[in-house]
Amino acid sequence: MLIYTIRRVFIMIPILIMISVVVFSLALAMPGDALSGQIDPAISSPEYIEEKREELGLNDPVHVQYARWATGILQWDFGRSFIHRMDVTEVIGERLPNTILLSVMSLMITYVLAFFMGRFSGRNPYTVGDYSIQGINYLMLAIPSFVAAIFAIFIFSFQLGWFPATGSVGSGLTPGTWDYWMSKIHHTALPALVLGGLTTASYTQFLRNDIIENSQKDYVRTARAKGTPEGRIYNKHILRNSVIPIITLFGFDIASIIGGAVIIETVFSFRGIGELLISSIDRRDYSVVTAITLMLSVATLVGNLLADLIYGVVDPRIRVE
Amino acid sequence: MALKQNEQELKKSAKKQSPWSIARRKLFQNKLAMLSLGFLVLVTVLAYLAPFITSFDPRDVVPTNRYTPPGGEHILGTDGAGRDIMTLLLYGARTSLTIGFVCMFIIVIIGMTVGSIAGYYGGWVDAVLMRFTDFIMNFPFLVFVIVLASIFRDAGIWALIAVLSLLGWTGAARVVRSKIMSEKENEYVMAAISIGGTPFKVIRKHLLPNVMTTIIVQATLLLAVMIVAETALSFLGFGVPSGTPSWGNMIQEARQPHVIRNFWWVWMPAAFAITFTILAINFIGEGIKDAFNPRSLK
Repeated sequence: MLIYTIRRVFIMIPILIMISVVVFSLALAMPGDALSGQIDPAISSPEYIEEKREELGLNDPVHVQYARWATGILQWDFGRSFIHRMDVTEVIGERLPNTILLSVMSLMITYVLAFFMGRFSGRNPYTVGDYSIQGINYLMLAIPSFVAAIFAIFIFSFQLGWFPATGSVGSGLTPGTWDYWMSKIHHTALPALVLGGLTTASYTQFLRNDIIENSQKDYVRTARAKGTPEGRIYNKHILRNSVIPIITLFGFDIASIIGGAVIIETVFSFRGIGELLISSIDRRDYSVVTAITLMLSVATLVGNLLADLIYGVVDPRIRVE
Repeated sequence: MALKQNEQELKKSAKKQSPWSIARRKLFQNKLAMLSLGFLVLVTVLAYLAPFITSFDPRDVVPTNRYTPPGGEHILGTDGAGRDIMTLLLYGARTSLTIGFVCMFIIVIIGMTVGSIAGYYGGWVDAVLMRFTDFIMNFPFLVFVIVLASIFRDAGIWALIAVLSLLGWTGAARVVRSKIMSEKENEYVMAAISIGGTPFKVIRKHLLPNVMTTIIVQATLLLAVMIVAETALSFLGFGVPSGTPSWGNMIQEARQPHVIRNFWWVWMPAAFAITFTILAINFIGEGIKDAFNPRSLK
């Protein structure tokens, strides 16, 4: 397993370099100065821009610029944000905890809901309950996340008044206090419910089908034959085998959460990384855009790596090639 | 046990009918899929006949008519610019469906080409093409589409279609490749090669028809994904230019909470239209998959 892990991590290095090249090229294609973020987009005089470009080395050959940019990133220097007037790392650092809280809460919601719904459906297939869960699943798979988010705001925030419609924390609260954290969780609950709820569908379906398939296998028949109570068969024998494939989906989930968070955070005006990406594009703050794009690509890559590694732990056949 | 019986029955009838006619019969018997197909056809027809159905112009901005509630002259009311919602819905369907279908076709062609070349030749060709596919898969799809769309913002709908297609083909290529790889082990392929068939001919005449079912199922899934992608991008302001009616642009107004709260008729029709269209496409896809699956019960 150790050798497998090391090999997988080493394969990542050339891919990381190629990803950085692609992000760098995108940054060059963006208008203005997307690498260092030090040219004021409000000043449009050609002399000013030319002078700044010369000063920042934006007229150097491309490979020199790339080397400078990449060295900066290895030293944790992503340039400056023109809108926020601080380092890009600081701007992102301010938002990151919110996105992490949102992701963790949505993952928990996904797993808990999928576990109970999948277990129920798998244990009682082709019953009214199973069909209703499947119906909900079809709807969840069809409804786009931004549509679901708007309906959620309309119903839960405005009609029922259970959750705040926008923002990530209430105003006038001191960070670190109990009230502050409760307000934070209260603000994150609805976006997390939408983000986590929509992913539930495929997980539930996966677990349900696996339980049904397992319940016809020989070891279940053996357990029944020796008189094991039905509840025990399902909860101990089958569930242990059926939960494994669900766990392996975890790595891929990181990738889908990243895409989902961009949309959900924007709908809820939730102050996280995704909302920062969209608002930075709107405000032409391209150094932030470059940094977030690179960060989310690396996160996706790590997610795929995790998926592979977890799979290797669960299924030893993957490890030997 | 019922499954086994059914399988035997199907095997018996399979001797008389071609796989395609069995599949067609099974698909026609699937009420949900047929209902969905009917819905999709209806939406498409209404979308393209929009100028004959509604007398309003989707670009008609009437500032005095802002946020008229449904009823009266405007059946579904008007939006924040005084445009008729019903008209926007019809013209929007045209934009969203057209982009969805065009992207689907481009992606199927790219995916089919890359997948069948990689699967047929194997070896280093396969290795190079698949590493490239994996590489593109490593990028977060939506984030890259947004960044690219913001760079080519002024280039209009075709730039959007290009961006969506160029980033969206990887899954299709992988599926086609794996199908071609298992299919080419069959003896009829060896026979076709041995009588002098060129690789292009073997792929086109022998291999592709046999992986067609997989491609069709993939295509329906892609249609749904691309419609969602277009509407989501337009909603965020990176898709169809804001003057052009599209389902995503209609919901864009709901980015302001007071519109969600007070003017539900502005965003709800488009929201329902998108959801039901995707639902219908998914049911059709399920139906086709089921119809071609010899082990299915129906």
